[in-house]
Amino acid sequence: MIHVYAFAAGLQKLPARAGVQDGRLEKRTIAEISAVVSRASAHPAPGSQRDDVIAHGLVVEALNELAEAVLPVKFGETFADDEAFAVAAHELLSDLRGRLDRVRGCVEIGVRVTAAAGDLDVTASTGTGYMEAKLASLTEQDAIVTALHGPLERLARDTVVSSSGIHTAAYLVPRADVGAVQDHVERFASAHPELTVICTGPWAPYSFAGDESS
Amino acid sequence: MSVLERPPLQEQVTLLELVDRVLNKGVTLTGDITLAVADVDLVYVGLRVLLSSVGTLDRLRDEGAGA
Amino acid sequence: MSARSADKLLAAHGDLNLVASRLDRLEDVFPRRVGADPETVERGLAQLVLTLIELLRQLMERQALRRMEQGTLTDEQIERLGVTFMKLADRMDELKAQFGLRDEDLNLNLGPLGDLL
Repeated sequence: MIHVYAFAAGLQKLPARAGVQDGRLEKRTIAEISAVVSRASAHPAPGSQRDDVIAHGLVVEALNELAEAVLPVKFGETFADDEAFAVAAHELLSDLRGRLDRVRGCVEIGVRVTAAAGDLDVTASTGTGYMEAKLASLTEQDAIVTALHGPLERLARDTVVSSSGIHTAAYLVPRADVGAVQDHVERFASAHPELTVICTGPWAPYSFAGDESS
Repeated sequence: MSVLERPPLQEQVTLLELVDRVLNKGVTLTGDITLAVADVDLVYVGLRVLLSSVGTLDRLRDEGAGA
Repeated sequence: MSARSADKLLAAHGDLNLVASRLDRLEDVFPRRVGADPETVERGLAQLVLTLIELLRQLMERQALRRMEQGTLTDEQIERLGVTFMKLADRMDELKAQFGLRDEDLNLNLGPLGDLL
């Protein structure tokens, strides 16, 4: 089986690390685009999947520092042989070119904001009281999220927001602007000690590699 | 993982972020879509299966019309 | 991923357990993708159903609140809606407790389809 990690443009060299099942990383070429793969057994040892997932991620992260642009491939994209992979990759070629252009020079920054479940609960003695308190709470929450998200959205080339917690988003940010993003999130976290705020990255652009439009 | 094996909290968080991305995001080549809610696969749609099924229906219909 | 993790954490404030607890659930992912056992499937189904109910509850609440803001609800309707939502919230708490699910377990991320709301 061929296990696929990512597509890349301007790949200098393969990372000096092993892939899933300790496999050796190999490069394939589709027109001017590189693909990083490794050979893997169709029947991995039970319990090894967790290690494989992490190995896959570490390969992708290493690639992000060795190429001009990287499109992470979702874990589990395996093919029977090189020919099968080549056919599938060629079908996507023009899409891949577009997506590589979109992410070139950028990294992904993730932001998560949550609060303890009890903090968001609203108690009231009447139905009307509940509605008014709920409205006030959500209005306040929306304002807080806008204060965090607005400037980040402006710094980013692209954004993907998911409906998880108070705010969960991925920002496609030019490398030079990572510091500004970090500063803004830090300031926001200091201003809201009641919230749990996490900012991670720089990641390869996983959230911007697929065909979903944001 | 036992409590003793569990890495420090900050490492857990970064590991979570990495694994979440590796499993749920990225290019899909095989044209399959997995809808996951609460990390439970709700629908697994194999587009190749769908396409071939449609082809089969067309053939059956054409054969029926010719009979 | 050990020595590297410090590079990837750009900011971390508050109770990280709220986020790290999700890693427990991701551990469930691995057996599921190889071939799920009945217990995992059942817990996953409960999680799925309650997440969908929670999603609908939030959607309905937001919709009702928007109409309340716009002034298109009567006082009686506001009172009735509020009482219903309170009862629904209590019922959800009961169901979550029954299945041993925390609020963090009811995640609304729809993956490649992005944001439902």
